[in-house]
Amino acid sequence: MTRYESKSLIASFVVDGEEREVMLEGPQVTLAEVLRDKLDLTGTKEGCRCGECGSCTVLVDDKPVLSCSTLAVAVIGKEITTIEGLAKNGVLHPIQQAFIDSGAIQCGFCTPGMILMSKVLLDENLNPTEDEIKEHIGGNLCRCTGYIKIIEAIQLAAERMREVGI
Amino acid sequence: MSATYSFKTEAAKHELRYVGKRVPYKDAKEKATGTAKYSIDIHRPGAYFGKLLECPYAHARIKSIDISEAEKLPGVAAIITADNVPDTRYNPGGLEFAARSAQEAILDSVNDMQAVGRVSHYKGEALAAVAAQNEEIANRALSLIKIDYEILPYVLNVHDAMKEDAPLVHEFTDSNISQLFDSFPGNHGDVDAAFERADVTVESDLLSSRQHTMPLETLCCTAEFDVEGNLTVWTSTQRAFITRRMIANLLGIPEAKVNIICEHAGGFFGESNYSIVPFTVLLAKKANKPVRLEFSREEFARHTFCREIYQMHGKLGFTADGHLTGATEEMIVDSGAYFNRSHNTLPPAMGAFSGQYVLPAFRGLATIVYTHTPGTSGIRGYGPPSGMTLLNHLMDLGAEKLGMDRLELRILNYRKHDQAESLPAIEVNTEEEEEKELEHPSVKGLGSESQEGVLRVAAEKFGWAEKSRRPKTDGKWRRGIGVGDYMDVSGPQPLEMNDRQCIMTLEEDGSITVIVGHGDGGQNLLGAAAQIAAETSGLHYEDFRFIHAETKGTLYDIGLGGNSGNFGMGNLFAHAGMLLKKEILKKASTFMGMPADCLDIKDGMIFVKSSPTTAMPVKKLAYKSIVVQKGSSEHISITARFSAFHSPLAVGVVMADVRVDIETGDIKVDKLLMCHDCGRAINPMGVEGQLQGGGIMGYGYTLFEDLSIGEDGGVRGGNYNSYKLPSALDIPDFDTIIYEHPCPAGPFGAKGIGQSGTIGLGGAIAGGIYDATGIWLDTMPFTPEKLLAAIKEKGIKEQK
Repeated sequence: MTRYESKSLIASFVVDGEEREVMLEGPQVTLAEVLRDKLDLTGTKEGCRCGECGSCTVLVDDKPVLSCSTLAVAVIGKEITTIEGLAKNGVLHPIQQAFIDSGAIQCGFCTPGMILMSKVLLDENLNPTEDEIKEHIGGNLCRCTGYIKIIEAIQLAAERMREVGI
Repeated sequence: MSATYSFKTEAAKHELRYVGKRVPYKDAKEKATGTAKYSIDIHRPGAYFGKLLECPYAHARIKSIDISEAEKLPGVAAIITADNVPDTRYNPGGLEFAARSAQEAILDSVNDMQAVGRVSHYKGEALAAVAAQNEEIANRALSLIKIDYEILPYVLNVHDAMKEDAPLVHEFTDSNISQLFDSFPGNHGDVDAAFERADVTVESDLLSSRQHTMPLETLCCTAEFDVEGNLTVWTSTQRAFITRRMIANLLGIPEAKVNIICEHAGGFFGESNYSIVPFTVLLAKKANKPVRLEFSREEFARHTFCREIYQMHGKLGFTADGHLTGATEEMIVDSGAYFNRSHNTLPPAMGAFSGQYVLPAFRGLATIVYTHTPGTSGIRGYGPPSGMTLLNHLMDLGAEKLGMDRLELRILNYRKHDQAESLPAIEVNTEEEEEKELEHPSVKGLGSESQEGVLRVAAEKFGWAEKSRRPKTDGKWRRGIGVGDYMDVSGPQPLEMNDRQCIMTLEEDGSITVIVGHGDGGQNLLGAAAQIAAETSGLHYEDFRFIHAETKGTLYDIGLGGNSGNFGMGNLFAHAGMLLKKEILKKASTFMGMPADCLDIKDGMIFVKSSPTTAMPVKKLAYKSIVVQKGSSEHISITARFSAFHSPLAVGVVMADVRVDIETGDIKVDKLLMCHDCGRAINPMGVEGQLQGGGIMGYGYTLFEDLSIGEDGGVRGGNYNSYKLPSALDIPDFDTIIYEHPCPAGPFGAKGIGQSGTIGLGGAIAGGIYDATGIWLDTMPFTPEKLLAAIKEKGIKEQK
């Protein structure tokens, strides 16, 4: 039986520098669903679907959002950065490299959200104190590492970025 | 600031090529770039949406169920109920496949679970499931299923469950007491006489809490049959081959027709649950379509297993000079609606309690009871965390009564070096000569002889003596320090198997492909394995590549749990590396015209020992062997096997500097220090990560984690907004010391590590609270609310 759905729309997003057109069934579709299910960018994770764990963190116009709790229609036309868009031409972002070098990645499920959240901090402040780091990533849960190596990774990334004058 | 330290005994001090190095983990890059796929990321084309129908009652029987209207709904592919699935009963942990033999199992495995039943045993248990084209149709279908329930009485705690007229959780039993464990092998001596002759006895109680694993990835399963009836299952599991056997048994098909794929898991911390798999598989079979079933976070909390809840009573007897005369430990274990591995955690729980100190007499007794709550099982720590919290308090009470220093009392009762027996030889399929080639430090022992060293090093770093002299009162604050010592294992052997096998093949480009049946949950077990294999083979760490994520094409493996990986897998790879080296040198001797025992390999280069510049890259040998050899092409390939029969003890201690606000009951941990003897740190970064991660998990369990059950038996909430995990803002300053006292049976001396971090937190923090206030809270978690009530009752007032 054919029926016409009045709530659906075709929306345009800029994801990791590329314009992507996506069919939304309605205004209830979340940004996480667009990224994970429609664009097959599964680097962004969902751990709770209620905005509590931070695994779904992506950047919208360089600001962090919880994509599980963000309606896709609210970010039409905006610049979205996912974990897949962080490395440039195969070269890892210093934060990604620092996480690898510090042993800050165990199961890796919190990692994409954690790295993107760290980027927001370091874009603004390349010399954060330990307390500033903890405050900043306080909304990104990790069950594996106990956070200590994550904090060290962010400090290492900051140090390396300061050295090359990023 | 949290710092990490290293303490090496003499045998650990020599430098190796790869072992002991902080090598970045093998899969870190794919995780850092978001390319690693987890089971929740799997979307098979044409997969249908699976959803459970949850019973709203803690205990109810289906009087009638009518799925006809739901089945007719367009877009519904299958509905499963007890009427159309096998009714076999099985143990949800696949326990019978892990034990070495039925005779060796200390307690009987109980098969109490059915894939889909007619009775609910806990609130929310699924008694039907649907596969439909999408979530909306699945939800509508569920609402069209008509069920008439007979609502039955239920019991939510062990005391009610043990009453004579208590409603039975399982109809096939005649009591909710599922097992009585009074024949623990560690029971010895005459405990009553021991308490008679004691000058001082202490006793206390502790009720542990509903501690859940709550990994960041919830469970998701995709099941797909092909036209030949081969089944592929994508899911998170730390025991892929056991999951495979369970499903093969359930469907009545040969095991190799089932392929379980788990490439990455977003954390696995114990025997949580595999029940998502039967639902998904049975739906896929009925629908003849691929089915994907994902648990929401709340469903995960309801349908997966959390730690057993122990009601414990412990008693110790001492002579006047502080020697233990004997101990008893009694516990009633709430195993929830299902038995799973409840009994397997008891030997470690009892063993830790009775094995920590030299004890002339010990009696342990455990009663395992069913209740109408979600099932409990062995999760990270596997028994000891709760028991060691109580034992450490009992030792503190003893020290108090005896007027002795808490650390000295412990040291007095530790095993001394000459009391430790040497470990019998391990069984491997190598010849004796190869056995000698391995780095086996000459230290003998069960692994526990480092207890005193670990405690003293920790005390020094922590500043125990200085902190003890500090004034306890500071306005509204009371300060205290606590110690939680513990003993952990290096695998569940001999109770369960820790048998490992792998195939290593030299590719024509000189790299090594390793086939091993084992999934990764983030512990970097394969990276550490590669470090060990590179060390013993002389090949490059970077050149080891693993095929591991599917049961198809890999070798049977018991899976991970109980600290088994480092010791079992590590030993396997040490031997595999040696075997591969031997094969390479055998081949090289033909090409180089020299006897194999004149050759060696280092950094991927085969060289003549007496004339090292006469060399040939392994890469070249591999190529010639496969591509260019006259007569035939040959892969250099080996199969290695390792069976562990003994479990060296990995000992450790946690110390906590605690501050209590007597006006609010708030508990602040200003400093934590953990010192763990891992034998040898294959990758220090990895060891630190496990200790820190386990420690913070134990910290959460001790102070606030507790899955709340309502009066109707239902899990309240179950998402991260109600079950709080430690966040970065909650962690205290936490120092770790990797103590290395190599154990002869371990690979380069390494022992268990994965779960040990969780064990000592309770003892240290509770000990600190007791030191600060004289208050022992007998119910976990130790929350400010409970502490404040106790402070008020005790009449502790602020000193101005």
